[in-house]
Amino acid sequence: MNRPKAFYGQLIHENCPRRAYYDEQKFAKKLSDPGCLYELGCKGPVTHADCPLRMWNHGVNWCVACGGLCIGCACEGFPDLVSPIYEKTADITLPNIGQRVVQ
Amino acid sequence: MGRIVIDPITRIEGHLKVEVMVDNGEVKEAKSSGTLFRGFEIILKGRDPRDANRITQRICGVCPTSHSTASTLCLDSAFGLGGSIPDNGRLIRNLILGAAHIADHILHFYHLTALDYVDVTKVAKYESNDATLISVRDFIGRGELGPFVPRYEGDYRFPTEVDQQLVAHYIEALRMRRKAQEMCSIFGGKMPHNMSIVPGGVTEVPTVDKIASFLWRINEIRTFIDNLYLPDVLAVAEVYSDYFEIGAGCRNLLSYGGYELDGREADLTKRKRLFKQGTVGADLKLGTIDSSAVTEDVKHSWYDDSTSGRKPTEGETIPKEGKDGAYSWIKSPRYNGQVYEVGPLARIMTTYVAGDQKVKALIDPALAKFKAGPEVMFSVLGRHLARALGAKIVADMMPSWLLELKPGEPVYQEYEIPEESTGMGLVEAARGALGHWIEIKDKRIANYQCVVPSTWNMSPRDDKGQPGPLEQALTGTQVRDEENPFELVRIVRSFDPCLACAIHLITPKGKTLSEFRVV
Repeated sequence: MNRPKAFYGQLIHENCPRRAYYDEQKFAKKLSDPGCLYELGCKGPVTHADCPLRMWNHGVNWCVACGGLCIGCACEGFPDLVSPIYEKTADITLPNIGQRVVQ
Repeated sequence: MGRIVIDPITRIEGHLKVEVMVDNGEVKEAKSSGTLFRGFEIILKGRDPRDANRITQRICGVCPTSHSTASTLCLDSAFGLGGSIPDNGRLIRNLILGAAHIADHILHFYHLTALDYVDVTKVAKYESNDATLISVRDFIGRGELGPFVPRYEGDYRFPTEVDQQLVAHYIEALRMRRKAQEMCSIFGGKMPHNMSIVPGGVTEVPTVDKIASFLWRINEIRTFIDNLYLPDVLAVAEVYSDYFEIGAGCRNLLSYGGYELDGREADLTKRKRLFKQGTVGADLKLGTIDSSAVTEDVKHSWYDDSTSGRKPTEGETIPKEGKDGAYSWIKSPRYNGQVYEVGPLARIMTTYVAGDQKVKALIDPALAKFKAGPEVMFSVLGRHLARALGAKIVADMMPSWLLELKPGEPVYQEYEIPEESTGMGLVEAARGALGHWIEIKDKRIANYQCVVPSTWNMSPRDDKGQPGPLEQALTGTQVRDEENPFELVRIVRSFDPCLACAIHLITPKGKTLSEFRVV
């Protein structure tokens, strides 16, 4: 998509503050709960953007931090390719996850 | 008879063309055209109903919060959740919407409208040591006139030092808007396009640190509203007081009411709200609203005639570009077949004539300064005053909503999506009455219709030939200088039009270079 890698090089999932829940398979059962939002439909594992790092509005907040999950608005093909928004994304092989940062 | 075409109207949201016929300096006929087809209602068909909440926000990056609120109320009612939203959820929705309204009102007065009254070029000669004004002077000195031109010449009435002071407030208002957006973000996740407001409540939980970080911001903004925004509106009103007599329009106002004060009433039209629901006419009497009396005509809009006169629940969007006699992509919403204006003026006046003491205590003394009664509110300045007072009323309520929040208590109520259902969400957007209607079949969206504030205000003639509110407000206006039709743009901008997202490239002389259609 010819976007600068500095901002779009990594997946939301790679820098997500709720990543530890995912790794421990602790999934939120309903919106507003703590836990990983993947099973409620979070598109963080397929969306390339740096929202968890830069955050929004002067670093005040961002979608996953407010419990609202990532809807993949920075994905090519939004909204068709990332909807239904509130349904779990089909099991996917996550690129670049679990690789060593320094080779 | 002369013809004045203003296309596009700048310093508004979206793309609006206004065309008037002038005879001996008086506007005889006015046409308001929205020149961009969006088609969001078509995009929504067949989707998961919950997605409407996120997608309708993308109608606009200025007022997404209002769309998410209308859409959520609509889904609440379709999912049978009306009356069971936890108090925390209701209050956080109010706080997010309130922050968005305040940001919008400050944006409108300072950054979209004020330059019709304030001569920014006076700052070029600024010689004292205010850092803000020095930076604006240097900005102008570099020839960067971007936000300030093109403009009309010949009717800037303030003395130099007042103009300079108001430009400094223009810059301060940018900082205040940023704080208001941060407030949206604290509980909404981000602005534009919050993620927190969902059917059932909200997703963000209140914590003491979030409440505190919201509270200091709202208190700063309240100081700004009391010490700068309201006095500045009154200063404009004093020097341009003839605008209390210009741009009255249809003198029929309609408000859906907004900000839920009661979470237990299932029927949203009966819910207690900060701004009252109702209609107000020239007689200043409060009328009740029956939402089923809203219809949309399309005789003069580029949609198929077979869809004319329908209620939003039965509405259809069938575009027919180039239809004979049509001149706009905007439909013509009517209430009981009559023309109604919506906006801050409508919600303030319904609340005023409903006898709300707080609103009365704000409006009466403000008008007493001009030795005028509430009837002058039907005017350009009336709309600006109502907007500023609306910002104050909401801002003053927010600390108490914040302190009502109970950390640790639920913000969200679970639900099942029904196989079949219908829903309606009515709310006041910053620019006025906003309605969303949904029909669900097989757990999918079978039909979705939005009737938005600027559709009411900027609407073209209806099937009976009655001009829309803006068209009526322009008709009869005396234009002193046809080369510089200040009167017309001041009337248009007093409505705070929001037509959302046209993409045009324009040369400095106003020639259209190219046009793109976003369907």
